[in-house]
Amino acid sequence: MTLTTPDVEERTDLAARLDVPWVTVVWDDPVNLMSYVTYVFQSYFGFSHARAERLMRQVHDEGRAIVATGAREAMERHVEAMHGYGLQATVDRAAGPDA
Amino acid sequence: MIPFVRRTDGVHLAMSEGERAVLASLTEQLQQVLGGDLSTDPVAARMFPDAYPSDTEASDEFRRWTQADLLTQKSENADTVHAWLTGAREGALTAQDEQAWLRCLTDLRLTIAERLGIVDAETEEASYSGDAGVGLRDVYDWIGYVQEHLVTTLTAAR
Repeated sequence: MTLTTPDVEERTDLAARLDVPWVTVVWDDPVNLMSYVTYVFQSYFGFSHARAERLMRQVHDEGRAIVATGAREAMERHVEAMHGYGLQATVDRAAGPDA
Repeated sequence: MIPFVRRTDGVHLAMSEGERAVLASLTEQLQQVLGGDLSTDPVAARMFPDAYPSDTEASDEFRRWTQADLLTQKSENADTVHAWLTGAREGALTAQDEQAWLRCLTDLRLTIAERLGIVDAETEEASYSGDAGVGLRDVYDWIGYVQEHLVTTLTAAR
């Protein structure tokens, strides 16, 4: 009887995929108020007011900010939540060697 | 009038009758937008943006998983806000009501911004003088004030 254990190559691929971090990016938009964006970062991510405000500033000044890093599924949940708040958010791979 | 006021038992709605009527009417229009054919409404791109900007397939897949739930939330938020504006609900806002208000005010602004053609700082400035902007732009700013006031009321030291 053959055990249904994945071969070495497959397991390596899986490990590699799980290792690749993803990020949640929030983009600047002309509609959402700075106070509201800060409030969302504080209440959803549990950031301190100072950290939430710093990220909001980054969104406003640089056009975007990374607000979370982790597994793809977790980042998709964050992005869905941000869309629920009406913020413009996207999922992206964490910066690679060419970034 | 001040839109909200914090009392000992929580945050209360303090808008005038006239303000409530205006916002109730706008909320009804939002309910119609949410219940209508969003596939032909450009506001959908603001409410359900691409989760993967450079990957249409992944964005479509993400939308298939999330849009129905998000749409239900948005409709429920609008229903809650409408109930408060028409007097069906009164007293202190629950935590869930606060969230419904914040999010519904955002959806109203996203929708009006789309109608006004606001996509960046320049078009925001231009919408003060555009044909569609007369009146509607004032409403847009007022809803911004209402939301700002709610955020401040919710986050101010008690």
